[in-house]
Amino acid sequence: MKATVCLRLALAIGAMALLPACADGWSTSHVSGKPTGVAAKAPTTPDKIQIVEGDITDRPYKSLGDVSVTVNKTTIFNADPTREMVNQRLRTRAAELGADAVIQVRYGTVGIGLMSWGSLDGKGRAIAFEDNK
Amino acid sequence: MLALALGACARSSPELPPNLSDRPPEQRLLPGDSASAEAKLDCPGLLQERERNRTTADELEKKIAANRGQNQAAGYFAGILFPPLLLAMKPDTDIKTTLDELQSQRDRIDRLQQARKCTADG
Repeated sequence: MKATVCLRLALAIGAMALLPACADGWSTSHVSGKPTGVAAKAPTTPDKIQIVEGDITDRPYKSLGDVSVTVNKTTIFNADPTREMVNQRLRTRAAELGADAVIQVRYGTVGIGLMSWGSLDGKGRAIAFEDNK
Repeated sequence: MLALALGACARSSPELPPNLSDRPPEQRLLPGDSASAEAKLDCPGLLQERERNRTTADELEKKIAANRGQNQAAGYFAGILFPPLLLAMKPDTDIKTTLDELQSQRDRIDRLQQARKCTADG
């Protein structure tokens, strides 16, 4: 009996210790509209990817695809996901495509999702500059 | 009840505009842009309209955020204790529709500003 109580307590403490690790939430992502017949680019560094809410007009670029991400909070007690979290996921996904920037970025609003008590999504177009050889 | 619960759901981000990167920036207008109310504005007017749009969107997002805590609590307790608590949720459906419309207007203003080569200060 005492062993069972101790085991439950240990499991509870263990679960609580893991919760901060989930504070950044879990996420899903999706890429659509990838251009066909274009050779895949080498991945870039996420930290160097620009996030732009509008278009870029001073440099020619090619679209690498439209990236959508959704960030979810782990439990009802975690903080709601933020736009910065969405931006970070967009950077990571765009970097995998070899992008230099994500343009036309837009966000949803936080609310209850199918699998989460707090969910925020964002979209953007991953682009590579043509003069960035 | 279900409609109320769904109303408190996350609002998806608006769709991306078409990819017009194969055209020069000043030719990235969509059909209908030239006939819109914004097309009648000059560069300073477009800048002013964009700022008004942004301010309105920020205020609406704050309203949704203010209702979020109540919606989450109501959803949680309705789910495990007392379903009629769903009635306490504020769906904000009209605000979400308006936010999508504001994003469309912002995209249109951006395209018009590009087409007219407006500068950052109008």
